[in-house]
Amino acid sequence: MRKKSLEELIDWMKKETTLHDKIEYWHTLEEKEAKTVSFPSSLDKRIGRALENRNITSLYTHQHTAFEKSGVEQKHTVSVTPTASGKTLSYNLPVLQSILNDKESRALYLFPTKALAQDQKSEINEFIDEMEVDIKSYTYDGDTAPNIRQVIRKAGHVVITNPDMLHSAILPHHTKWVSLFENLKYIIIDELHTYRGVFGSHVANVVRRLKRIANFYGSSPVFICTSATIANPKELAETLTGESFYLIDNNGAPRGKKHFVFYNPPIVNEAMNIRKGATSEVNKLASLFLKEKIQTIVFARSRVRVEVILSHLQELVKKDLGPKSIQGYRGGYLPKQRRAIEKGLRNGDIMGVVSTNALELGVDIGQLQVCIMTGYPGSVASAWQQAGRAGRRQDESLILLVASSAPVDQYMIQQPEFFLDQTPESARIHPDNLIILVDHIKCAAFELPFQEGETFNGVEIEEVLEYLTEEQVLHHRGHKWYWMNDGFPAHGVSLRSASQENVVIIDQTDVANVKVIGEMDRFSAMTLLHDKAIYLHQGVQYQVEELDWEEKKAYVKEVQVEYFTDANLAVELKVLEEDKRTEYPSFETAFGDVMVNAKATIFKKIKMTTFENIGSGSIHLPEEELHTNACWISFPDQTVSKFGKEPLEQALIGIANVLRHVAPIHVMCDQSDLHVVPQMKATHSEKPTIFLYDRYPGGVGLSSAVYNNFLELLQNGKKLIRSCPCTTGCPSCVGSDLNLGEEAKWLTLRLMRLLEEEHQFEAEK
Amino acid sequence: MKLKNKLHRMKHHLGDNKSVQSEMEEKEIVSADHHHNKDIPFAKEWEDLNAASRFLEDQYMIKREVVYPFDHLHGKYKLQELFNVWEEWKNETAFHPLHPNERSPEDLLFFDTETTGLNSGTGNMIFLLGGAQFTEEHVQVNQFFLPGPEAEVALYHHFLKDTASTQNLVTYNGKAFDWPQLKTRHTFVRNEVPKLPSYGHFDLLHAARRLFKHRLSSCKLSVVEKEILQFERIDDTPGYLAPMLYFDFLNEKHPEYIKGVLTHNEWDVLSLITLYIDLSKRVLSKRSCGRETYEIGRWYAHCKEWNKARWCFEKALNTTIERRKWQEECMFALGFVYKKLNQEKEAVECFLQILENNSANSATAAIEIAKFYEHREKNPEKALHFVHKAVKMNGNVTPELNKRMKRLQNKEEIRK
Repeated sequence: MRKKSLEELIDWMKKETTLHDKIEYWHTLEEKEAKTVSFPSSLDKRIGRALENRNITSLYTHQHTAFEKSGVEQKHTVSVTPTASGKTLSYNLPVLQSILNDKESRALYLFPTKALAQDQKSEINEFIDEMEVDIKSYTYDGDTAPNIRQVIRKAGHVVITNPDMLHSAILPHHTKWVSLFENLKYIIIDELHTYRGVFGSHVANVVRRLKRIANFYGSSPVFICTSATIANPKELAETLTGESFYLIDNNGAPRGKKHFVFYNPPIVNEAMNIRKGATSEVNKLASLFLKEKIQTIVFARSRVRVEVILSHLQELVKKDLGPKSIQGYRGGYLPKQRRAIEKGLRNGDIMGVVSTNALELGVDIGQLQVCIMTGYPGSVASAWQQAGRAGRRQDESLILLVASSAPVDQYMIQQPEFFLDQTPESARIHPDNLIILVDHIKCAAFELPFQEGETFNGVEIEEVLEYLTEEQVLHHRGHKWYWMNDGFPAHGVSLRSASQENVVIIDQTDVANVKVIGEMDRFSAMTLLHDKAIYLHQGVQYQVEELDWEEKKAYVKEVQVEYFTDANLAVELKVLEEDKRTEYPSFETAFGDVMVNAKATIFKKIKMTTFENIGSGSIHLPEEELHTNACWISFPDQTVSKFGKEPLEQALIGIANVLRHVAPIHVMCDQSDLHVVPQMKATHSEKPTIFLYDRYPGGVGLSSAVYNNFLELLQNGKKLIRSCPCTTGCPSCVGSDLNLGEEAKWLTLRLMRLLEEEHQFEAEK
Repeated sequence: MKLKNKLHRMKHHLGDNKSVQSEMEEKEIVSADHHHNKDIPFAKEWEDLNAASRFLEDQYMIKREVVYPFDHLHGKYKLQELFNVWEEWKNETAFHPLHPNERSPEDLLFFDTETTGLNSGTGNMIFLLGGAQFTEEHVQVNQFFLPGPEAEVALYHHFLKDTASTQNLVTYNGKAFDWPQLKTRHTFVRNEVPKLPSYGHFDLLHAARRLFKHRLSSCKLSVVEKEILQFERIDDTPGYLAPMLYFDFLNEKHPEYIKGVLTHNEWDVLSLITLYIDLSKRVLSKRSCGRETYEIGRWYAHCKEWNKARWCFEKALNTTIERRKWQEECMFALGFVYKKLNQEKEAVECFLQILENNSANSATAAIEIAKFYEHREKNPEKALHFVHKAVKMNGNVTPELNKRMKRLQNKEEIRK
């Protein structure tokens, strides 16, 4: 039987009547012609020749601008480009030109992951070979062999690395990198949009240290950043580096025809507005394409979901393709495993991949034809990134957004214009988070003593230095502060997560061959790797036999069970200090410091097929303490008596549930980065209160952004509830808490209206 | 000012009746730079330690000088025994990493540092550079001390100016630690002080590991001193306390805090002298026996000094009767040395013995014997016999063995 092509399947989908009520919206993006400009006259002939060898005879408009601004005018630039638009030339051209002009020139490339750095090295080296010149470019990461490290330090024109390596291996040993720092002309920051939240705040401080060391050796390099589409690329680049930037957004790359299909699983329970699970619909849709040998990528939001979908798909297409042709891809797999999967996708051995957002990044996996998202990925920017994985090279492609019953999904799917017209979110970082700042000032002092009057890229830090002197970390002598401690500060600071130590996952199924299969951050481990938890890895189920919290090791053993586990986290909140407050007649909002105590309490065993609860157990782990920022809204007594205590409680849970979904969209973060907790009697005021707090110690600006945009948030929340077709409230809007009654939806709306009117009234005054 | 400084120095001679340590000659203290006779904190106390400030513009460092007579006994050796081993080395023509070759004893700088941390990295400072050197009259220990982190320019200026040569450093793990760290710190002040000269190195840690690893619990210098050099440290300040004591010194500025570290460093460099003597004697003398001779032989084999290695291995085997694992290794190594020296028959005899022992090396030995019969004796039948033995020992047929077997079978066919 002949395999159907993607075009045929698209036609079939359009005509098939059983699909009509499931497809809520079909959006077609027409193809776009390329906009090009001929080579700039100043472009080195050797570069021009190498481009011509690749059949490139002109530059896209954005590449041309990048060459003029970063190369000729020496301005800091940030380019915003979609996937597969040839962004690498935006930085490779000015960098190579500078090295051809002066062979002492050096450039430093930063990629968020090792994998991207590897891709980039092959790409730039191929280009250099075609130019037939002696330019050396190397990756420098944890895998680099010790014997070539010295060569790289002395003679590498282009050093390709990641922020973690810069932070813990290059900057603290800068004296070994004299020739790099003395001649540093360019710093490339690719995938700029990934530097947000905690990670971005850390990296901003690493960049401060980098600039400080470069200045010490007499260089002031030009930054070239590239970013996926976000609302504030210029602002982000400027906050991250402390320089002013020229924005390049005249994308000239062509684009193939794209079909964006909004797919809503059918309702199975009208009254409760319960829809069929997105996962099972995704399984069906994905196998439809995979059976026709159309390369498909499936995105899922969590690691667990990836593994569940993976095992289903492997089962479904086993006969047609063999299970190996479908692979999972997510954090927690070992690097070697991931490289093999990437290669398999490029050469077509692997037909399908199920991934978390790990594959949103520019990892080169070649051309895929179909992208299926299991639920809305949480942000507009992220959705476009994932969509970009299909049809990277000008062909027709299909993107399917399969909604889950989560409120945001239902909101998006019923108002696709919200998604299609909305400007993507802003990426926020908060480099001056005190905990992060102090960590990096320590590292900076280790690298080079601070002078009196010196700032940390504009930040006044004298008090921090004095504090560290009292703590006997620094020594103030003459006009300088010197590192005077026997530690190595960078080793105690991890850029990637709040906790410094990850939990290592050890498989002891085969006693003779015990092996490490992955790792996980501490906070996640509390709920995913507790004793007796079922942990999924590459579609295989493991049961945690023991979580050794002291040693940060989880010992697992392979099992085959019909359930998965879901753990509860109990949270206690104390307000330490209130920084800002706005009062309204019947409520008030505030922002300040809080202390959160979290403890994993119990876990439930949930049957895979029916999602019913088939057992539970308790978890014995120590409490984790978190000191962070929060924003909260609370209601004084008269509101309680006016609104009624019972109804207010219902509305409170309702609003909290809606905010839980809407707030992360607005401040561009993962749902797990911003926690929402409703309390009828808050510890600090005894008033009904909803807290929204940053999951990272010290806060990274999420709850502060919520505080500043509260009205907008409420409006979107209200829209979300209104657009939900249920009658009395459902999991897709105000939630399905057992305490909620028949009137929950109506009560929530009533309270929200009240808040919104007063908020607006206040704003007009 | 000049007078005040002089008085400071005199005070020591005038009022102090402290007896001079018997073996230690006091030498006149280096005077401070005349242009900057600033008073430094606790100048008197420094003087009592034979130390004085040295200025560079308005920065100073502290230089301490101690002198030892040649007949000073440090552990079981007198320092002057270096001259004896020097003579012995002169008669040694084989290459050896410890061989001083054309150098004279005065060329060596026995060198050790104390730092503010045990990690490498730019924030780890060297606060004490200590070196011992032979002069015509005595052994001179010079210590260059950093009185505060701001004084690195002065420290390296005077260290580099006063240290004639770093071409011949003798250190303990200096290749991996002290010298790279010195390079790191020098980079910070490189525009203000003389260039860092090129350097040559005898790293005695590597030597000690070769000779003593099999019998010492660890090759830390303190262990080697105690077990090998018979030097007992009394009231020593352990090295790991050095950073803490230095931090205390920075706050209090009193040399008392750092005195113990200075002595510790002084003993370290003296031990390097006697360790060099001891190691040289072991390598040179024909008196070692057993396991140690075997290890010396391995060292020579590593340097491709096959005749030396053969002599050591043969002696090692002749001087013991016990049957230990190392003897088997020694026999095996000797086989290869014979092969290098084209003593094929002797080599085969070694390998035959290994084969009989039925040990981990037996399969390899069988292959070596097979090679001999195939290439020298042109006897494929016998060679094949040993290849089969190798297969049996190995438990399976590796591709390499398979290839050899096929080739031998072909040769045998042709002969028939």
